[in-house]
Amino acid sequence: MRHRWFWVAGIASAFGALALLPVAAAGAQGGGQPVCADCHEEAVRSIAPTKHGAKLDATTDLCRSCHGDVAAHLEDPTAAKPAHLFDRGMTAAEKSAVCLSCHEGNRQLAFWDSGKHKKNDVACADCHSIHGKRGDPSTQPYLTTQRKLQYDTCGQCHKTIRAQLNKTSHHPIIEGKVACADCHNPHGALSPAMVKNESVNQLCTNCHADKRGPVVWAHLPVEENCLSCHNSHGSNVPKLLTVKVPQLCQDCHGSGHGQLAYGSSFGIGGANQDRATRFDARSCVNCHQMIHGSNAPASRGQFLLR
Amino acid sequence: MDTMERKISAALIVCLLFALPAAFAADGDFTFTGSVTLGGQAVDTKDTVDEGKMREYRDLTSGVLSAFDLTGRGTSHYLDLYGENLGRKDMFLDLRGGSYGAFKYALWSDSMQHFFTTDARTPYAGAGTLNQTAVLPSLDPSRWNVYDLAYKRRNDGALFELSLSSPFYVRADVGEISFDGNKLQAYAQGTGSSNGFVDLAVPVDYSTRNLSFETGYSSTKGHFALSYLDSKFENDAEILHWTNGYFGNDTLTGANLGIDTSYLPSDNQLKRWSLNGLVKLPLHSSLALRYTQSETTSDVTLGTSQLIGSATARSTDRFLTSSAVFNGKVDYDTWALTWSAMPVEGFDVRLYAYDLKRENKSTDVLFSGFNTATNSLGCIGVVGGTGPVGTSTGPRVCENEPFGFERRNYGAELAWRPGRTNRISGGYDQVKTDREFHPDSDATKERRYSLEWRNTALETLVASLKVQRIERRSNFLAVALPNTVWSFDTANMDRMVYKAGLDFTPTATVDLSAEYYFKKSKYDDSPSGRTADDRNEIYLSSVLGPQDGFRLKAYVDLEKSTTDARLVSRNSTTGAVNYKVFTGIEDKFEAFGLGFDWPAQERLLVTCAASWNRSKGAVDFNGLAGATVLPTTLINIRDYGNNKRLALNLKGTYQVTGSWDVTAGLAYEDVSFDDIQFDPYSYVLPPITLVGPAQATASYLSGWYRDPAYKATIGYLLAKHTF
Repeated sequence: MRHRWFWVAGIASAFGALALLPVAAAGAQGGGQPVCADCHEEAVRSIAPTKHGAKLDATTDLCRSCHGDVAAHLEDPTAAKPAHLFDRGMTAAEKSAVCLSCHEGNRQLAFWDSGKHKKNDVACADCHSIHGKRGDPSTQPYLTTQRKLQYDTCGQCHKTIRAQLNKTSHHPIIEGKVACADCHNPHGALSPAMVKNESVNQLCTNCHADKRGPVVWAHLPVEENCLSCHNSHGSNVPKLLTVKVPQLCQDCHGSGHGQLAYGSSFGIGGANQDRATRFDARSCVNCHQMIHGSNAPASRGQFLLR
Repeated sequence: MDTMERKISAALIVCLLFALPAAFAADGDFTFTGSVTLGGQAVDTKDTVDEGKMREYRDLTSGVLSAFDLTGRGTSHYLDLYGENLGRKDMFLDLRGGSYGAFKYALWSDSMQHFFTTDARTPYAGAGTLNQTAVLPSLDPSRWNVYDLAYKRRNDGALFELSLSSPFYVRADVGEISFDGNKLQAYAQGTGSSNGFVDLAVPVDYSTRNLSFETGYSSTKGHFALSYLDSKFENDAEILHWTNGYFGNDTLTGANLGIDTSYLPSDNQLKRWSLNGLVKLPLHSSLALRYTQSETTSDVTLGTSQLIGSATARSTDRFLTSSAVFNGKVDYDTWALTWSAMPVEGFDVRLYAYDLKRENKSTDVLFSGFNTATNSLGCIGVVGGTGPVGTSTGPRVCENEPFGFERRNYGAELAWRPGRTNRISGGYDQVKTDREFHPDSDATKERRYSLEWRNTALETLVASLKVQRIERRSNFLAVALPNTVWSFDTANMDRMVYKAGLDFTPTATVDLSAEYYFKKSKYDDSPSGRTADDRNEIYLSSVLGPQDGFRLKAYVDLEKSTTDARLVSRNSTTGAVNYKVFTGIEDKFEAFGLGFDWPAQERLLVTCAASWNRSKGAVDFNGLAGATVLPTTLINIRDYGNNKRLALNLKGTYQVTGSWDVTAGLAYEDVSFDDIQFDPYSYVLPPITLVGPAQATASYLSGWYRDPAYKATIGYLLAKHTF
């Protein structure tokens, strides 16, 4: 409780300082509004508070920097349209080229040419709303956040992923605690799936550093690829596993009790659904808890038990 | 509030107080917009046994809600500050600012709780600590200790980047990700699963501190960057002691004959440096390169004993090890090279190569010294053996195997646009993996072929078709027997993937889309284990309505997957097949969502979000011909991870004045679970076979997944002041 008061006091102090600062008038930043606002008031108003809006002034320079030559349009708005309307008449490459005319040298976009999005005709404006348009209605469960969450944008195209995020076991992406860009670089990367690290395992252990090892006794699929067992976006199975245990384990383990059906007497001659430690609860992991590797001595570690 | 939290909080507030006037002073036209939101929520969870799933990632307790944002804009400087849920377990703070082209900075703190269950139980004293003792058997859960199974995660960090309006830049990032709480670990009693197991709440006290530097050059001509990362993982809880009831009920102050030891994650350190570069070349092409080298180390003092033997002997066996300390060291070397070009109008080419080499330079550890002649516990050799170490006639030893591999990937992608309305693209990709110390396969080659057609001939329609074929072949180290299971990630596989997509936008206010996937995989060369899997997916979605009017969004997701496997048992002496069982696993997922934004009046916006989803799992068993003995009782599994979720959220936002608005809302969630692995739930499970004393006759569960279903009604009221 004490730390809540700490926050309240801190933020109150901060906002007290704000009272000394100038508040922007509704509408444009300093320098007045361009003539475009006479007809496109909402478009001008919405861009004003953005970083682009910092360049907004009474000239039409800002508007023209994206929409191109508007001279004819200004003379007769009904007869001529601006050069770049960002509609279906422009290809994705043409739309992106407008943005890249300023941002091409940006290091975040250095690998745009190498990425999947460019190849698949994704334009900058497909994800970035320059005029801050209202987003699509939400369909998500209640959250206390007021932030616009990134997955809403990515999920418009990546529908398989959107479905996975809604499954019972998922990373806290729809809760706003993990963002798509925490793992992927949407502007292009040299790694498969445009992940931010060199490999999937190196990516996952950024957060799950307890799984980094190295350990005395390793579980080989863990060392090679986390995605052999987990679906990072979501699953119907706890722990984001791709298949329920023991079936998942049986996909590799064909000897000992790993190969057997489930039951009190290894499934031969007995029911395969008796209450049994090899099936109930978390099945194989009830005992082989150290499934990501162990440092325990001898066979306790070798069989990932301690 | 811990020390780190105080530091971050103080730093944030100081930054805020000083950054604003500094930015204002530097930028005469610097102006601000922002808002402050204050309110509360009341949560009713009547009839809910366990709130763990409901609060898995959200702080859904009744209380005060708050949020604020501040946007500062000037012709040369900017500042964005946002915070929410102050003082709550999911508090979020983010401050970003800088001067366009000259420098930028950021400071953030993001908290989250990961709840598993609010009603966990244990017969052990000391849940969540490193010493957990119990007197077993303990068959009455109502007398057990109750605790929350949960941990808190914090991500705090800061960055500063300086470029001084030049193509050159330097950047530094510092951060800490910390975990504090407990999580579930389970351990076999005795030495194996025949004696049951115990769920224990083990302490989670992790912190990962990251420090990185990057410097480089970036312009329209090319990009170059050199970066270094130092990441230290520390766990303040590494060795767990607990009562292994099979061996006795001794306490830590006694002879410790029944006290077992488990090894939690050890400290480690990652050092990585990387080089990134890209240069623009003729033919509208660019050549990109990345080289990365990393080293992960972890030094562990090895345990030298373990509990083995019979329950009555309750012996502690001791081992000699070849080294008292395990020096874990894994090196990664990776490089990637990509050439992207548009040599002539309408043609896109991308050629790429990627290589990842993982070298395991960890200590080779040899455990020896078993004194039980009849129980090898999986180790090789015999007691007193004089043959070569590592053979069946040598001394009995357990030796680790430093797994390493190299993955080489190369491929080509070509896209041809015969006109503005069509794009035909194809690709070839090959991945070859060479492994050391893999039990099944030392080499795997995977080839992928893909072809896609995309058409935008109609102004309102985008259609696409894609087909992909994947072939995987491995070099297996042993001859296949009827019961051989090759690990499915290396097993020979043939997979076809088909995808069709349609986007239809007849007007500016109507957007419809549909996608269909079909994936079929066959593992024909696998004698046992997974033999096939299929997957069907359908996704439909629509957004209807104008930006400034009633706007509706809806979706339907349907998924179904089936996985086939064979389980084959052979007599280890004669080789005769005892039984064959066919296993068919089915997994279904259905989801529907509907949401709308409705400006009911000029000052009133009504929004609604509703979603429903359901998953169902099942397994069918069938005895197959060709076996000498068939299982007599094969019961199909139903309710295998079934769950449902209904979520509703209806709210109205009324603009009282130009600067004040009020939001009132009501949310409802109904989540149910039905899983045969937990149903009917029992805290105490009987053993497979009675092989030990009374205390070994049971498994002791925590209650996680006992009843994660919940119903929650949430009312909330928020007032927002905008300035």
